[in-house]
Amino acid sequence: MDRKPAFRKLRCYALDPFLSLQVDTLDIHVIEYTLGWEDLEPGPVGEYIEIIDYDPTSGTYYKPVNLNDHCILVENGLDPSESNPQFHQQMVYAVCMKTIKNFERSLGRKLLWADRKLKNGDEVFVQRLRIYPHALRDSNAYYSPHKKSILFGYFQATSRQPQKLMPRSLVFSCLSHDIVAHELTHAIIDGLFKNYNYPTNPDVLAFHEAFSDIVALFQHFTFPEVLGHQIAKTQGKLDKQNMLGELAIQFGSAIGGHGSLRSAIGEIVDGKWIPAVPNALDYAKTKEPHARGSILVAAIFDAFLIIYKQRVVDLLRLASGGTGILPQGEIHPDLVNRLSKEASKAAQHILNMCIRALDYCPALDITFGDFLRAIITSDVDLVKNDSRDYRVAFIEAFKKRGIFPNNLKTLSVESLTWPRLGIKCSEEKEDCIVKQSEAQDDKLEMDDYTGKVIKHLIEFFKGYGNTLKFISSRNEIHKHTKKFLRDNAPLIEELLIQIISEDKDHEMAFGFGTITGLMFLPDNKILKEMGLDKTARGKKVINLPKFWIEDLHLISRVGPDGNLINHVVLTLTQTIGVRVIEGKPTGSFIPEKDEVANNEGFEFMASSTLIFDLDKETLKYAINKPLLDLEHLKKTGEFKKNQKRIDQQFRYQYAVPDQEHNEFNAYFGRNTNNRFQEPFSIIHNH
Amino acid sequence: MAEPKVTNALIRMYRMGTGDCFAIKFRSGRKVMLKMLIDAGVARSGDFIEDHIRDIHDWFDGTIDVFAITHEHNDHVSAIQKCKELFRDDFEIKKIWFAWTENNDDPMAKEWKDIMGKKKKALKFASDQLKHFVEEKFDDANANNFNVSKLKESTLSFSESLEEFSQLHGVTGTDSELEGMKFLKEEIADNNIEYYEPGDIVEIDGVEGLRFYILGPPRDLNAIKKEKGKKEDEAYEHNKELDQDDFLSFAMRDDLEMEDDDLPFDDKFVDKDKLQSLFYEHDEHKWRNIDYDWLQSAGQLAMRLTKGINNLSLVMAMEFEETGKVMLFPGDAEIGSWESWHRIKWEEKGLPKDFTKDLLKRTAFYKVAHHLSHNGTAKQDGLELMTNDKLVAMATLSYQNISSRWKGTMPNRAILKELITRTQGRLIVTSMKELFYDPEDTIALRGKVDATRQVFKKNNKFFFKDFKNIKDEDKDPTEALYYEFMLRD
Repeated sequence: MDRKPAFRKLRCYALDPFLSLQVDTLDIHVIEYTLGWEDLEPGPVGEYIEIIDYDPTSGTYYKPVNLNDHCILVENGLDPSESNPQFHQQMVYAVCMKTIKNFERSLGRKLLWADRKLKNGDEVFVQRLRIYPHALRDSNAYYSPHKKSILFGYFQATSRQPQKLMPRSLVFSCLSHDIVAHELTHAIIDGLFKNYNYPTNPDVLAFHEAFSDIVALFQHFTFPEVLGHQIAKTQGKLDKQNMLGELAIQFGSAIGGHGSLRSAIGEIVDGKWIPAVPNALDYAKTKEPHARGSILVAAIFDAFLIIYKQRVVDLLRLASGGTGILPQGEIHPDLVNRLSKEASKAAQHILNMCIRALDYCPALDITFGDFLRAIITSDVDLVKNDSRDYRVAFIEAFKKRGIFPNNLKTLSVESLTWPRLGIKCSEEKEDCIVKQSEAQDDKLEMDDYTGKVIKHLIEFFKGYGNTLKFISSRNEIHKHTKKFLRDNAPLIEELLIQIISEDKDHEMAFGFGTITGLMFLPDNKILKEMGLDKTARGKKVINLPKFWIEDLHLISRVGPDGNLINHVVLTLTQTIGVRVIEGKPTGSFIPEKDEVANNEGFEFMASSTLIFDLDKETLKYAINKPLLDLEHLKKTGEFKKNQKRIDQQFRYQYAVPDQEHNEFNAYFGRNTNNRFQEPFSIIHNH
Repeated sequence: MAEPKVTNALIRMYRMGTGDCFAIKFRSGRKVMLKMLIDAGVARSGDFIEDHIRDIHDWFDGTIDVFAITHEHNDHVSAIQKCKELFRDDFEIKKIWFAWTENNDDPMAKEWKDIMGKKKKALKFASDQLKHFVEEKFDDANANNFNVSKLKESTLSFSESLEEFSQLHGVTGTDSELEGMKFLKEEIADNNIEYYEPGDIVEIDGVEGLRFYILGPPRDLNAIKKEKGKKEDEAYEHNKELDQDDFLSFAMRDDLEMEDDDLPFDDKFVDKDKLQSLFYEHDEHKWRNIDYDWLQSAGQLAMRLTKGINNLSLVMAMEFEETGKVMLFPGDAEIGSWESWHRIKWEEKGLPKDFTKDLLKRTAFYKVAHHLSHNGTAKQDGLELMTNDKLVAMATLSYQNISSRWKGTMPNRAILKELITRTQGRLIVTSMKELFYDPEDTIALRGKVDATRQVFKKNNKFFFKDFKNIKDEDKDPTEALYYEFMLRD
């Protein structure tokens, strides 16, 4: 056959089989996933994932499904069935691919899983995520960053309503759309930001959890079939949007521990959804990752409701003869149809906005406030005209829960957008012409040396962007990026060294330091004064805290008005070791070299994510988690460690664990600054 | 002529480490009427335990009128195992008290024992397997991984935690009963065991003016299973109950072949040829193997099992008829048990309905449950009801002798704070060394307690006098084997 089919259709449960027993008279039991075609080996094993159905609790292999089998193909997959493990494999495959594609479409690039780090320090490409649908006898399911695998559990459950569920019947977490999407999102985020499973403040793990839940929830909402039934049921009371909140919680209720993230959305009392009343102290008061994560989920859900309301207000007027009040009784099926399509569309938009925002998030130490700024910035970048006030909806929802970004004086679309640098290099001259963004008050003075660095960086990345534009294989992308870095990182380092050595007056250390928040001043005396003498390390002549290129990727996406975005994103990371002396984070050590016990010191990381616009040849944004105290630097020109961030990390990692909530961690986990346990297993064990 | 009434008591907390051992002399004036020993154990057995037991022997002149064991955890019975001969040959033990849950003739207790036994074995199996994996297989599977040593350390630490939990419950060979417990029942007891259940009121022949009210363990299974007061809005109860573990426990056993019933799917779906194993077990892919990961679910099992057994603690409130004072010895009872005390039908015994509240209100001596952990002392149903302004509390916690992993939950700072406030500093702890009062670990507990005692100097006068070892506080346990407090008339 010359032509491969464009799609593969697979039947799956619309709701968890368990849940469909709970939601009364649900007529949508099964929906069809339409996925892009790919050749599959039995397993299924495809381009992105390999499903191996090995059950270690009994040492059993279950036969792998061959989705390319003719009989299975003509019927759009196996019949949904709880008792057939091959259907389980099919469902996991379908949900994973749907989630992956949602990410790729929004991000405008191929997804790569987190690299595997070998003994010798090499980071190697992981072609496929490994998935074990029946790996645990537990109500748990988790992504293991060490094994690049997802482990799903199954367990016996007793229902609170025995008439609805056979006692001691088995519940399989891999048959829940929300659990599969949630765990897969953990894996995807790990591929994008490997430092997000290193908690440096209370938001980091909470973000991992919340984001995974957001993807699961809104992806579920993109199926109009699922919504239609509920919408029809609500009859005349559409304005309250009860059904959406109800559904969100019901989806959550079926997924056990994972469902606790939905708690901030509200609760169902006597079959009715009572939204939780947001409180401006929520964010400040709640520390436990799930509870904290639930605040973010609720904020996004709130934004979704605002947006949905705006989208359907005209429909309601049309259907009610202009009054907006629908008559009692059944709603017209056409209206049900239109409303569910609008809800599904709004969900897709929310999902896109949240996923796109990832490209504007800092590389480590993320806070919810950073995420809000990332959402706004990415949306401003791509969608010029916010005709439906999506951004305001987001800001409003965050504000209600007390989530405010640090260091902001006002809360508006303008102030929330990351400061636009707009540093552009002119063709003729060696140095740069600096264009200030309208929103930025403080003038950025660009010295020649910094200009040179940026100019060269842009040139390097133009080459990278041009090569990568024409590559679509994930393996090749990885190979080229690594090769590019291997070839160019020494050049960049040499260039930096050269410029630094020419730069007698430390202009570049100041200029580039102000942009990135990183330390590029190899002056032993100053380093010593900063308490960084012990962290100084580096090749050749320069003595600097270790820095490296953490990540490099190309983004290209198209906005709704047809505007094209071509960005190269470079993340620089710098690290120092902070030693704890007499209960205060004041000393220093060399990470990976000095042996320091967990309770005596921690690694402190800083990063700068530089976003280059390839078309305009400008450095557009720098999204920083600075090593330097930037305000002090700008005001006085003096270099100082960012003690505020160091203290924050110290306070978080060394605080007595929340005894009420994380007893499991107290017994079985270790300090928060430990990268070697299964972070997502522990967090779900709760 | 009737015997004189019991009016006061000397209470000795033996300082073996984190673990309970209380010797009490109930007296009438200076005349000893009853000698009672409650528990004898420590979390990590030190060798010097024998000194403590010998000291009890001397103080009691070799006679224990009542030996009460609250529950079957090593930190409450390990001394019996350690000093078997001493207990069997040198002591005369007149009566042994257990909770109803130890009574093999009680069908409900038997059912519990069976379930618990299975779980203990499962836990032991998981702990052994994980240890085996870390020791024998880990290096091979992770040969080419970055930073294997740290990865290993982390897995090892988990396996050690599990082992400690398993040891707390103790399983040797096919036996699921703790050795000390078994020895007490089989070698020491001589038809003199008595079992008690909530609502029982015990008076001892020849001892006037002293009454024991048994508050726990509850007869209601749900109360035993309850871990903490938490709102449930999930559709089903997933794995939070003890018997939910059966499915897991079934898989974790080495003595039985897996039966078809234990598999989640029909046999026809099983790939007997294990074709995928070529891929799964290939050297290249070994780092992704998950043969042992599922055993980590035993962590939850361990915690639930521990809580379950804590809630099986024999809870005794001892009332002095003359003074109305009450001493409360709750063992390691957790929240589910505390709540159940208030449901005891006292009115059937001719007592007021909320008699439990009354007992708590009159409590003048409180043995802090579960070594100051957060779930050891109920707030609303417990501590907040203890309003006696002369309340004295003793807690068995010592960082010199404790499983390192317990340090995360003991002491709970909120409970510590509440106790110190309520007792005006009259809190006695096995050892306050290395303990802190505040969550930030800046205020030493020792200093805080001393300062509080001074603030309420006037009211604490009796305490300075009746706490015999106030000058010995925090001395090495070998120099001060016990702390003694006298509860006066």
